[in-house]
Amino acid sequence: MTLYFQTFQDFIDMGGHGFFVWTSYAFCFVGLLGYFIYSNNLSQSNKKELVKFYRKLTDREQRLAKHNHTNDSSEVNE
Amino acid sequence: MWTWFYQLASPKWFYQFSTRLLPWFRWITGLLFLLGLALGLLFSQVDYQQGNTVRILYIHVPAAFMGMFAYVVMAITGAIGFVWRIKMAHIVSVSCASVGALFTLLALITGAVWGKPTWGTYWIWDARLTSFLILFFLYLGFMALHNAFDDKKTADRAAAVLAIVGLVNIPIIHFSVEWWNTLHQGATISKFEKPSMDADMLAALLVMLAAYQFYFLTALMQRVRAEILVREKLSGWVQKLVTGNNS
Repeated sequence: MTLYFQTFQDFIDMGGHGFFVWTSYAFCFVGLLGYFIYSNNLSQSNKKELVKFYRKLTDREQRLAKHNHTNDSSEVNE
Repeated sequence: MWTWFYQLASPKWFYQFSTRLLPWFRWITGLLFLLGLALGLLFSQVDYQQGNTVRILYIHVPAAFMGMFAYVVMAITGAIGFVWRIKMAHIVSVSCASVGALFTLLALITGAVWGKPTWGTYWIWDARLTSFLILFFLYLGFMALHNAFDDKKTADRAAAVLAIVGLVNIPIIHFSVEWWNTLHQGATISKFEKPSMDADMLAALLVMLAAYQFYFLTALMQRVRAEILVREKLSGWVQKLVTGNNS
């Protein structure tokens, strides 16, 4: 197994086709890396959303409990 | 063996299992990509007609293959979810869509950039290219349809039907180069014949295929985990995981 290119300039030039080769490699690199980061962050952002969701849920439960409690006492007063 | 199979269908078990598996998959993906790129860009020989543009092969062919592979996974898991009403199957099916669409888009873009110096045009309405563009639209349709329903269960079932119907496009893509006169060349690797390419090039291509495969599994796992959190938000273990207490 031998290196195909003799110099770094040859490697960049790709026998005159450098533009096409490096454009397609750049698209793949950006696409794959971008999606990897996006899908990796998805769990974190979903967790943040869920924290808000649970807070709302417990708030609602507490208000409901309070509401029921006041209703109970008003019934007793009557 | 069957208990393992049943556990796989449990979102909680999958989430915990994948937490341990994910770092390994990320490392394997990264290493395979490094090895594949070194083989493809530095050590492999060039095509006597195409010259160095043939190096686009190492990112184009795996992307095209994975675009089709992800679609088959999406349709099969969709069908499993549709018939046996397994939650996890639908979660996997839905998570396949966007990563599959990415592979398909990358195959189309790299193919277009490769087409310019080789065929003299970026795009042509040829059977292989058109059927592959339809695959991309099928992915977009699947995602749009799934987003159109508020109820996730209805969305899962409707999207699964679309995925199963669209499966007919996969053999069309595969055989398009044989059925019609196309500019696109036929398959170079086949299960039944000796591959018609140089051993160094084949090695680079196979390593890149493995790298894309592991990338797919890693990205899919990450998406599935995010999807599980949202769908299982009312079960105790997710609340415990997110808030850190058992309230």
